[in-house]
Amino acid sequence: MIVGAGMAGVQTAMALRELGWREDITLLGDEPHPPYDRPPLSKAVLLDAAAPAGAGGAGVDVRFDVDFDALGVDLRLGLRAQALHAADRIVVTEAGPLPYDHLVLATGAYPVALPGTAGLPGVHLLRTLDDAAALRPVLDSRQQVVVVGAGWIGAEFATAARQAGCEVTVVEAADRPLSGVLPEVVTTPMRGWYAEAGVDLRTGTPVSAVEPGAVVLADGSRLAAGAVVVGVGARPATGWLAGSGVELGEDGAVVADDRLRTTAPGVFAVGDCASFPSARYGERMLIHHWDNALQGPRTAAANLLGGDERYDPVPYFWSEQFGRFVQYAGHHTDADTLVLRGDPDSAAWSVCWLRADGVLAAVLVVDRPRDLAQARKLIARSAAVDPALAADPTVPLAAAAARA
Amino acid sequence: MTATDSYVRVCALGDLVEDTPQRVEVDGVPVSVVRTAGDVFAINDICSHANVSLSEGEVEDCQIECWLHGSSFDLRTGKPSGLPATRPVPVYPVKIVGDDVLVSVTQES
Ligand SMILES: Cc1cc2nc3c(=O)[nH]c(=O)nc-3n(C[C@H](O)[C@H](O)[C@H](O)COP(=O)(O)OP(=O)(O)OC[C@H]3O[C@@H](n4cnc5c(N)ncnc54)[C@H](O)[C@@H]3O)c2cc1C
Ligand code: FES
Repeated sequence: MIVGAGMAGVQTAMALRELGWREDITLLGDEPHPPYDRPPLSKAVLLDAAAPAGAGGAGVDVRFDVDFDALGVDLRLGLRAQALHAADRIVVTEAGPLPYDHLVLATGAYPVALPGTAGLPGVHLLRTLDDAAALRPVLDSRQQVVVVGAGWIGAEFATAARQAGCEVTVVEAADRPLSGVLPEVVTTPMRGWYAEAGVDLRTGTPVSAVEPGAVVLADGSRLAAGAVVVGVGARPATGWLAGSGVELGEDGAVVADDRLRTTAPGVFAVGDCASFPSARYGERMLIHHWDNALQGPRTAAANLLGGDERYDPVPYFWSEQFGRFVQYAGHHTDADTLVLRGDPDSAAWSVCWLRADGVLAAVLVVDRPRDLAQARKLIARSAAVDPALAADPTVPLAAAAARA
Repeated sequence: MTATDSYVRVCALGDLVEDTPQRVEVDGVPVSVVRTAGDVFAINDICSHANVSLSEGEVEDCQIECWLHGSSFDLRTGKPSGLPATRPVPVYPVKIVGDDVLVSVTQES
């Protein structure tokens, strides 16, 4: 049985069949919709909404291109797992207890809300198809929008809202966008992207209250808001596992081992809901990105079928914001040396992070997809790169490694 | 129209850098032309998973890799070797005449 019919749950079902599993597969999902892909919700789906009437408008199909009947998967939608009794191998649902032999947890994450905004009309989160549908009228009627959080989703939503002709203000408590994940050399040009798109970006200004029709900032200023979109992070959707026999970490994630096994026998965990120890990076990682929900299920399925594969991926994600493709691969720390590859004020550039031993730890790429593709392979084999060559955007990254 | 007539010159053989795809348009169809391992291939430039250009991807073992989510497509058959793409990308016949590379998009090979 697989609980959670998002990317990770669906990929688990597909991987199990591909690897030859012939027994029953039940895929449980609490959303009423056929399983769908989330990244387009903040991109194509909204941009499509932003397109003037008559310009296409056919709607973007986000459903996974999977025939569950043909795959022999019993898809139970609109059914929520309420509790797990791992000792008895039973999942409790609204439709009664369901026994299992093997269980894969794939319940993903839910977006963090602003305190005190629960149920306030006009306040939106963006995680589900229903959330995206609720935002369409906001774009269609060109309401004045305040986005809380200058993260990935905030930037993507702001992109679509501007395209639709909304007046957009993005407020961020930290002093710059993405302050938790990227250094200033990278976030300074990003600030420029907001400005260029006509978005009013206010950093260092926490929200003190949300009122009907307005957002009040800590500095006392009031921003009129027809709609408020909150993008301040997500937490593993694991509340239903409390007391189940499956260990949860302080961050709420299911604690998996490097085989993606949980602490309960026969129970695996994949995707946004689980953390795992990375030998590559020497730390436990909780990754909320799509590629992790694609790769993890292959390992979990192989191990569920008796294999012994270690999960130690090179993390990867992409974002589409302000007309640019931004991609990041690897994992860096402040101790790594940053090498600029091209001018961050130009249209296309990259940044490399090198460890003390010269090994490529991570890259961030803006509209230079070839750098990303080469870097992913270099990082996977812990290749060293020559810093001078890596700094030269005319030299392919792969060549900078060969000569290091 | 015979099949031969539908071939269109897209570039000179000498213009193609080994393993570096070149994007061309043939009768309005975006095509990625790839010279690799002594052969030249033509594959539709749009990934079958999402709408991005395959010519920005890397070429290895007669496969072109999509740079966005990593599916690889066989340059001979267009078939994806792994997820997330599940559907093939059209591939087209190529003819080399002298130093000219010709592609026909009216027939998928
Ligand atoms: C708007 C948006 C844009 C994104 N864009 C990008 C991007 O550009 N690049 C990128 O790398 N990543 C992106 N992501 C992240 C990526 O989509 C996630 O990492 C991925 O969806 C994780 O898949 P998952 O299956 O683990 O979780 P989810 O997709 O969250 O799926 C989990 C499913 O389980 C269901 N569920 C939860 N609890 C229960 C329960 N108790 N019983 C039954 N069902 C349950 C949930 O309702 C959900 O349907 C984006 C995410 C969002 C929301
Ligand atoms: S767009 Fe090519 S694999 Fe997703």
